[in-house]
Amino acid sequence: MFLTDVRIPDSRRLGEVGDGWRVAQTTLNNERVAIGGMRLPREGGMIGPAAATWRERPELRTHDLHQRLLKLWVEAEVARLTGERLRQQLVAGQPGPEGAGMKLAFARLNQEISGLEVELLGEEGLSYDDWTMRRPELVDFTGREAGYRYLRSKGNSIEGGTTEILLNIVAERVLGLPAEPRTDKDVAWKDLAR
Amino acid sequence: MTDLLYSEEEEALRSAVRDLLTDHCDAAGVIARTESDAPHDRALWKALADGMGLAGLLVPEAHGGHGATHREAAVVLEELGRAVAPVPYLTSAVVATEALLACEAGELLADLASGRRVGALAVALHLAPGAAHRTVRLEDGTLHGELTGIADAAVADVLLVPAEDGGLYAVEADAVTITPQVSLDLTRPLATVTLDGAAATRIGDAGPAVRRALRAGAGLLASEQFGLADWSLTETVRYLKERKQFNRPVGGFQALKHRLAQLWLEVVNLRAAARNAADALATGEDVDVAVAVAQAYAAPVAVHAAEEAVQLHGGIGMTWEHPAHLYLKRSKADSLAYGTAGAHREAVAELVGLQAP
Repeated sequence: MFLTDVRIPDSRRLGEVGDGWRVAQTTLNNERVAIGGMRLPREGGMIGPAAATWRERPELRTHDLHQRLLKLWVEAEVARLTGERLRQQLVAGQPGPEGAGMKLAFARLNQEISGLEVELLGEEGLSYDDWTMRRPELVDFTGREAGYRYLRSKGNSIEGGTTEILLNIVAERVLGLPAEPRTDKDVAWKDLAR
Repeated sequence: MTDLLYSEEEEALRSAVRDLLTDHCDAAGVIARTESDAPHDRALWKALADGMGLAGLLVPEAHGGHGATHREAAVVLEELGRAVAPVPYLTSAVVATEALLACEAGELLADLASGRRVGALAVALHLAPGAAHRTVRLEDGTLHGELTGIADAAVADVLLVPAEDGGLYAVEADAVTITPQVSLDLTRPLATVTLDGAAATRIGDAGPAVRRALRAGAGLLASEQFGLADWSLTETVRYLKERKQFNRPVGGFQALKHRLAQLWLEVVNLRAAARNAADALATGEDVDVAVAVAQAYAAPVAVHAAEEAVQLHGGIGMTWEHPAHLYLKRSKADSLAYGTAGAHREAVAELVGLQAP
């Protein structure tokens, strides 16, 4: 994004002057919670359509896919329980650091599960529902086919903070490990290598 | 709704157990014990069972217990796991006790609840709930045969033995020969039990009692595995903040930070899965799925945590004096105990209708 001579009225300012970083962080945190913190019933996430396909289409089943599906089913159920535990902590007024991890877990699970489902579909997995270019009105993970969900979920480990940055955040803020040495801290942004 | 948190009472119980273990179960002592002929810590067991009354948590008050639930027993096991404590809590106060509860064996229940006697279910440690187990021959009211892989049998006073007639029999330990096996995990050693005309009392049907005992054992083992994994993570993070190389704490290197952050995610997930299994056992709702999910998830996480602890400690983690090996051996043995993760994934497949091809 390039901004050149853009005039923005003070009425559009969010928060106090000098407080912009906090406002931006709050927005990003909410994005993470939105990706990772939805309350779900069992099989409520991406595992739902994959499990349904498995049940409805016995002719697609192989031993290899069965082992991988079961492992992901268990991981999805455990991630759901972790999200539920996080919500119970918030209700009890004891917020824990688990929130930082939810988005990491769901990004990986969404990608692996939708990838497995494309493979499970065999010949159909090579088809795609619709390549028409249009601005999406909302993110629709379940209303479209596995191929779309596989490609869309690739964004889950980038949007709202990449998985790599979130792992840094967990390591530094939750585990208290030292930060990487930085050479950019006392350099003006315009002078940084980019 | 499943309660996945710890109550104030459960947290108080945890700190009491942790205080006791801090004072009476240090790693050097556990290692020294594994080098002796008596790997179990009987004094610690007496303090936990007799002193604190923890052996009777699952036993109703009418039978001399505390009438608590699996949620409290799970908290005790988290702490025992964190200390790799060599006491027969899981085998006697959970597994044998559950078998006796299924048989409504009042007198033996009171014995085990008091902690003055230790019980062991004579079923091999690696068997999952519902798996076929070995039995012994019944001749003229006495038992004959050999059973291997019986955890903590060396300190048992009474063995609960399945016989070929489908009965579960109580047998006094001094009526059988118990031979220690050289075990991977010296803090929960196995033994062979040889019965040669042992006098026995039938206490009930083996089928439902063994199944119930192994299911509770598998479910609460997840809490022990959480304790093992949490120790491995916490101790490794602590060490990597201290240990310097290339003029920096090695915990500042991203290659290590990301591994520890990934491990933290797994440990956090394991706590939720273990609490869910303990709560399900306590309420009786959705128990089979909760236990199978917890066991399908717990074993690889506990093993991963211990393996990371050994690797990231570098040379010191390979020494006999450093306790990392205790956690590696216990978590690896636990990955077989009461069924492997694979066996529990197969159970999940049946329970939620994801049938094999």
